[in-house]
Amino acid sequence: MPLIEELPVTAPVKASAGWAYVPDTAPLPSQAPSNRNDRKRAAASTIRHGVNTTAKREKAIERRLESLNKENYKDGVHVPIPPSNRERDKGRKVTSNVRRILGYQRNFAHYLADEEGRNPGATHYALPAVATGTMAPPEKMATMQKSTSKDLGRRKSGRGRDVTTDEGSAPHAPQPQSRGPKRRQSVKSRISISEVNSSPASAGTPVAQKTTTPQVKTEESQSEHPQSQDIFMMDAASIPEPTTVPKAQPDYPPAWDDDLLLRSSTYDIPPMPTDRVMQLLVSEPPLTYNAARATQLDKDKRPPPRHFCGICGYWGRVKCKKCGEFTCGTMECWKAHEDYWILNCLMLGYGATQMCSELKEQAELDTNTWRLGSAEGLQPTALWSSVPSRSANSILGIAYRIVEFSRGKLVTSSTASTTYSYKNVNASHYFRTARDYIHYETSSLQGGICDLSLLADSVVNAALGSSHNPHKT
Amino acid sequence: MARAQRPVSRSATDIPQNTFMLDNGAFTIKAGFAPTENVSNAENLQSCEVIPNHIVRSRERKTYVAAQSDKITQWSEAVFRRPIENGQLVSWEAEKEIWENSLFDPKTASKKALVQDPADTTLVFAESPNTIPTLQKNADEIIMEEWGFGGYMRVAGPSLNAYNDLHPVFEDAGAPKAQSSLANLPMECLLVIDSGYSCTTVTPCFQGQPMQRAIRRLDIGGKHLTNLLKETISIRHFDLHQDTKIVNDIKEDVAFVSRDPKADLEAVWKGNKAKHYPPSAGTADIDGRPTELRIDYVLPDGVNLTRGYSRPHDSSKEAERKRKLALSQPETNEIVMTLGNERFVTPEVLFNPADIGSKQPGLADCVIQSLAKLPPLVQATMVANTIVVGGNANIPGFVERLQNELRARVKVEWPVRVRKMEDPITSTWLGGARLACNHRDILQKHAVTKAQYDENGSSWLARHFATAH
Repeated sequence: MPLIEELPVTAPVKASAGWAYVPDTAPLPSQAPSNRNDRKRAAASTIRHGVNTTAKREKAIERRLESLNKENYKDGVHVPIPPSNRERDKGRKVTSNVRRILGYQRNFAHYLADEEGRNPGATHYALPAVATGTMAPPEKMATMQKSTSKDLGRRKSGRGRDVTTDEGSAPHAPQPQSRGPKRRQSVKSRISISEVNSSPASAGTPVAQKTTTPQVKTEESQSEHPQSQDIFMMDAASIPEPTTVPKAQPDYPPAWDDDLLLRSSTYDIPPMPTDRVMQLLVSEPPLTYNAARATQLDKDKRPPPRHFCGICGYWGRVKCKKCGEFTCGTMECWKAHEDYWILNCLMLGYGATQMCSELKEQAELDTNTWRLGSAEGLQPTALWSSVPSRSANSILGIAYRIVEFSRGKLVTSSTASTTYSYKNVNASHYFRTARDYIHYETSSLQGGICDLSLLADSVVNAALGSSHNPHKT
Repeated sequence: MARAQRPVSRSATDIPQNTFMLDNGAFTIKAGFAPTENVSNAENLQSCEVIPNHIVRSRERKTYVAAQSDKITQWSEAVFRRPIENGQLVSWEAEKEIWENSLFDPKTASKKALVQDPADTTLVFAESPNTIPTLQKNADEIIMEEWGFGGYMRVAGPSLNAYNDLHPVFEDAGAPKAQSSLANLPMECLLVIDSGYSCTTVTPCFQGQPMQRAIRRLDIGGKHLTNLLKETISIRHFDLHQDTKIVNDIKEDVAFVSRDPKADLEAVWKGNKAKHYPPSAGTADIDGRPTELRIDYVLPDGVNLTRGYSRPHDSSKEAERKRKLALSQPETNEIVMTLGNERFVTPEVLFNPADIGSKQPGLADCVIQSLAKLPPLVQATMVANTIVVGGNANIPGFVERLQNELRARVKVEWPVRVRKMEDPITSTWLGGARLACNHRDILQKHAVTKAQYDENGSSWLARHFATAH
């Protein structure tokens, strides 16, 4: 994928006298790779801080994923809501809550950040505090342990409203939970909740660990902000009895189910989890937005990364040494990639983003002047495929012309490092980088760069003389 | 007892009988009244209205709200505004406008979705799981205070699917009908894979309730597939970055999930022209032509052609000649492109997000991660009762591919059945309608009335919805 980004530029280089100051970024001999081949390869790569480095690659992937998440091609577009002339809305009273909510100009990132800020690292959304209760030190959830005894720290609290005694309580699903008698417990005692493990042989059922750091904090009665860390509050009253599923009546004697012949010697059906366990599973509070995301697999379980050709989409069998993009290996795709790489070189050398930002103020996003779309919008293959590009005057067309020109005048220096030097026929200057060349060209334009097509024309004119008709390209 | 208590009385205030089911999705809203008696699925679905959940500004700078956008002929460079971001309802300013337009305004709402008197209607509102509590609270407050529904129930969307009539979906045609007492209950164990516009959620449900600890989400949905297709086409054929709706149409028309993507890649590679690689066996039937996977897609231009269409690619010599001829005449009135591997490589991302560099696991691995949080017998039952809902379930080959992948990851003794309803998009709505019709008692237990909300406030409401099961 084409990666356009602005390389750090220390100072613009003025083209004069055929030489220019260039920052010296050659590695020190002490830091140079000891292997002679490595050094040669490093010196041979023209893009010194190229796209091949891992950090850059990570950033490129991040940016690509973010661009996949976009609704529209441009970020800043705002679609205003058309004013409604409905009779409903005329002269209606709007409550303060509604007015506040309607006036929110936040997007999802704000809400998520808020939520994370409130409860950093929480895995569950705790139940909101009830407005009229008084403070109660929130209970911390110990790790769930299996409890077979019936005398767990049972508390039944009042039905939903009572916050003082409203600590979490152990569920006792099997006993018919009468909602009548309510027992109060001391406020500070801990709760333990039976574990998810089903009875005897657990076939490796993962145990939900809800370890929390003991933290006693008073909660505001008015706020609905959940407490920090994992606070798991459940009322006994909220754990319902298990819904009784009417069991189908078997029409054979039940003893036949335990017949020896039915037992499988190779495969045992896992044990049935108890009703209590199932009730616990469905009554848990929901996970947070971030906790519910699927996590990356372990390193050994991950499938090997697959690469595809950037041009045609087949398997990427060949990796370009200079820029790290993959190609399928056919000459057509490789040539296309090479052209693109030269273009990338040029553009990076100038700083495509810088160029575009200069133009953005002046140019309209019109197909006639230029069109970039997203950062990945450069379509190199459109340059040479027989399918016409949507706008031949776009930045692609212009870039195409620059590439054409540069190919005709490509002069590689004799040193090991292949910097591209561009020879301006008229000025007979040698430019160290493409950027210098474009600077030279555009400095002659009135008022700097005002139209990329002008730039392209001047470039092509300089190459081929004024007899060249730019509109024929 | 010293503490004064406010018993939550359910019997005193009953919710209104008339129930309106609203599945608020990121791409479309499915809305309609639930039937009053048990009717067949086809009849039930006739009362469901599918409303696009967006506000569009077209190229001509004209704004269309929700269903008004059906009038747009030139979709190029249209800009969308969606109130739902990442699956969560963020912008009530926009959503209110859409709801007013589609549900409450007698002039613009369709007959099926028009709510004449909210005070006499119970609203069943389906949201996505793991919603941020603040957003839930906002939704509760606006719904109760702005429109004043008589009854209100907010529920996680995927769990509603358990109330569908799923035995015919899972069982073969010849299986004996379940006994009537069991058939009336919600599906006991159901794994719902909701692959929609913003994301894909895996929700195991037990007796109609979601098992929260095992809900997992993949941040890849229809939107990402469309954007990926947009990028690919823009690099290789035409710059369609600004034409989201057009690329969405392309995706819905021609994309498919391949049973064997490696074989299919060989089949469409231009380097394989000498050796003929047939495409993998199931995918060949999609086009009706046994050997050609590539299609030609004709793009709409808004004037002569308002909707693109596809036709099979003809790779013979005289077609090649015709194409060259057409290119030399610049006034061809057709904008055509040939799509080959883009058709099936784009949905591959759902099964292998590493293809675009994402760290997320594929859909099958996500299911396994979700199941790992459950007891083993429940895991086995879930995997045998998996249903796919949401727009992406319509991609041909999706369900079969998922079944194959799950089969490869799950114990050999456990049966694996992955199915979808006839219309996966309205499946959740249908479940909710059946809940309102057949399981009135469950609805009565969960929903609240306006009077209760006025008395107790929105934090009580949030607590009630989170705990009442």
